[in-house]
Amino acid sequence: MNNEAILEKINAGLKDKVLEAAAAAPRRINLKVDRQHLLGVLAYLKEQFNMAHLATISGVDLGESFEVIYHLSNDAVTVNVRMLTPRQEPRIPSVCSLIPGAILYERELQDMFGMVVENIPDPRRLLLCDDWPEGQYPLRKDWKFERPAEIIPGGK
Amino acid sequence: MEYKVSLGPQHPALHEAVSLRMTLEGEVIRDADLKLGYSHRGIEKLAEERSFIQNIYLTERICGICSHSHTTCFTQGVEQLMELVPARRGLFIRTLIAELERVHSHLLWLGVAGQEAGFESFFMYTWRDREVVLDILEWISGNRVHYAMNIFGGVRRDIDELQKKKILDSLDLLRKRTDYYLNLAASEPTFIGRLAGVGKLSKEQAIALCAVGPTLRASGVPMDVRKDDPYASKATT
Repeated sequence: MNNEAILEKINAGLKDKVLEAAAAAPRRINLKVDRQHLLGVLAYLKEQFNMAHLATISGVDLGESFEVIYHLSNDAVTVNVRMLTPRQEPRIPSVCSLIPGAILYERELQDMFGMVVENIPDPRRLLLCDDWPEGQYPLRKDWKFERPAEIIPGGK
Repeated sequence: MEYKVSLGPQHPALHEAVSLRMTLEGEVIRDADLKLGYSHRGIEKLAEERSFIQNIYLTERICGICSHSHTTCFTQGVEQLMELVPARRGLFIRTLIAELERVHSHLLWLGVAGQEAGFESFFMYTWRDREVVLDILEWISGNRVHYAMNIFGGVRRDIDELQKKKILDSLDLLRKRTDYYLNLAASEPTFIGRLAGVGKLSKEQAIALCAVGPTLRASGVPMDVRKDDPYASKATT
């Protein structure tokens, strides 16, 4: 099943759930969805087109809001499902019930962007170290690394 | 009886720092909880403050085994943003390097698999032959590991006739050696005895956990990104 056929079927089957659907390039489809329809759209893609492979979830800091992109694929097409979430309250639903392999990406999103993944099966930190301060999210654009002053114990 | 064993983050058997907390039942590992991030270098954050050209060299250093695949991915992304169509010959050389990298990477992990199974001579053999691939890469790029071949619009070095002959001769040798390993791995009873049924990942599990590449194919899913989503010169042939 090629790009156009899939896009046509998405347009028909997900008409009221998808805000925008476009074929961006050969073998690439971009979708925009609202937060409440994400799980429904992902379930539809998995059921209809066998899109069970999630390559990764990207987080993008757009300033006022964060964009979350789910990169799904089957053996012919990659579908990028985009969703916006406000910076003030960055809550996203967990997709682990559909794609168990998403857990590592969701934990990374929590670490790096401070997003709150609802219903996540395992909310522990993944990449940041144990003594990393609370409320510091390194991949937000306004986060800058400042090297702490070196203190030599007993030194001058 | 169930008990837990902690392995890592620092352990002589590990190739990189990772913490594995394993639940054992007798000698069988039933579950493993992993903790990552011990060698996270914040490359994403570094890349934010650098130019596109500088980032080629940064992405090359994400991994010392698959350095070229990271720059290929990055270069292709920038080329799409810039609406740049790379030179045809450049694309073919880019693919050639990618395939050579794949061969050396597979030989490396094949050797490690042999070592983990206690088959040390297998490890020595495959790593010796991996040197043949690294020599080819050095003839082309001047470097064994970080080839620095990709640039926006193509590659940084051409391949001349003398190099071509040397490469083809070396590939003949590698083909013979690979046939030998294939035969050995499939027929050596001690090797099979050590590996068969160990750490088995079912087809359903492999798909659910989003496995890729050789891991996924070993679980019986015929997926290959080169065929399913062809890139570089594969997109044109």
